[in-house]
Amino acid sequence: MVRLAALAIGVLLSSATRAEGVLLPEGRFAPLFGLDKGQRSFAVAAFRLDRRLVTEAAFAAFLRSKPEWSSASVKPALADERYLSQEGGAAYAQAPQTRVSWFAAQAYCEWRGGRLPTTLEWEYAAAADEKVRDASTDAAFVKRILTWYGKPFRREDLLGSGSLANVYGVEQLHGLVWEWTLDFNGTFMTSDNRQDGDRVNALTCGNGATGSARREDYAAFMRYALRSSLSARSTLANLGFRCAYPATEERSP
Amino acid sequence: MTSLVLAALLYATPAPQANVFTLETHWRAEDGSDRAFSTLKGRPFVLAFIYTSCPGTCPLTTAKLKRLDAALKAQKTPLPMVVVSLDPEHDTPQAVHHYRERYALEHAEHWSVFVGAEAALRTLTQLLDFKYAQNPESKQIMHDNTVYLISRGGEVLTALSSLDDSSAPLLEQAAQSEGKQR
Repeated sequence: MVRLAALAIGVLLSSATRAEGVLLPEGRFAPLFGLDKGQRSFAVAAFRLDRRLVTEAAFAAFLRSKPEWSSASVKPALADERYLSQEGGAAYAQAPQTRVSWFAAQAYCEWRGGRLPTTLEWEYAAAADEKVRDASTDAAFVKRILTWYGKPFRREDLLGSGSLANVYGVEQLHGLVWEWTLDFNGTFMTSDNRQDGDRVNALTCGNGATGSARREDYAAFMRYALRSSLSARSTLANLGFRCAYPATEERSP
Repeated sequence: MTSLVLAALLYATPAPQANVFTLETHWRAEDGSDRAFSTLKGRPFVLAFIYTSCPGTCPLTTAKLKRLDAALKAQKTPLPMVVVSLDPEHDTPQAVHHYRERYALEHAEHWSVFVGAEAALRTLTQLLDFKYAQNPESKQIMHDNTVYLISRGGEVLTALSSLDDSSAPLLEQAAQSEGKQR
């Protein structure tokens, strides 16, 4: 009976979180990196994005369904030694799930019928503030984000609310954790890739900032730098994720 | 934040050996059938990533693969050649057919071209730490040029990371690996 009730709650929760997916309309966006000479922006197709970060409670449901992703069973190639090593218990049930690898985050999103958002999609969503779609050149907006980046991280910060709903209705894009993207290492900028003969040196010392689209958006620059420092099995205490879905996705009944 | 990036680098321990079968991926084979990547298990194979409309380095990659193929045959260790598309959207069955024609591979039955969904492609390339990025407007793809020799169990035996790299290490490893089997 208890199990049945738990199951019912689980079903309710999962349909509730599914309904939280927010539609982001198509638009154009100039990411900090990736534009070729002569390109000013990219078209972004409409997509749906989780309103909030994936919580520890939601991830626990995934682990019950897919125990191969538990810290005890996960293959070492798919997650580093600190995978799911955070402690905090029930108090953190609604806190964002961190200490999760790209492989696990993507597996979770596929389990939910989605995928991780691309970097372009994530930056498109995260450029919006409460009033406008693209605040990435708004000095006050960028400063707000940078102020957060400058604060040392403490685990209890995960109990905070993060940024409020932006103009699309998406929350927590800033102020809580960094987030995985589907193509986090697809930007061809690494801290130093001089040894990789064929790679493009987008970020050799100061090159990255000068070659970028908007010199003033240092916050975005830091996100690209963080992403490029990760490998797909990395986990961090303040790196979480949310999922994206096709714009046309049918709601589950 | 700077300290955070440094922390990420400091804590990065050497990853376990890359293995392409750690997670299963599914692909469209050239006959249109669904093909699990794990069906390649049991024999070493050469693996490379290309896209058929690629104007830049892909012709060079394919030319390099053909040279490797010939050299492997010459040293009597012929191996399957597996080419994975970086552009699922445009690499239709017809595009793949033209690719074979262009490189005189119509009768090369030990060559396979796999085309998958983006999730499969991202997963396989992450397993190998192979990087690629598509410009969403020009559709051009910037990508690594690594050519891999994969063991019968899926491990990377040799990775030629640059087109300029000598093929000798891969050929030697293939000889060793096929020698062990006999």
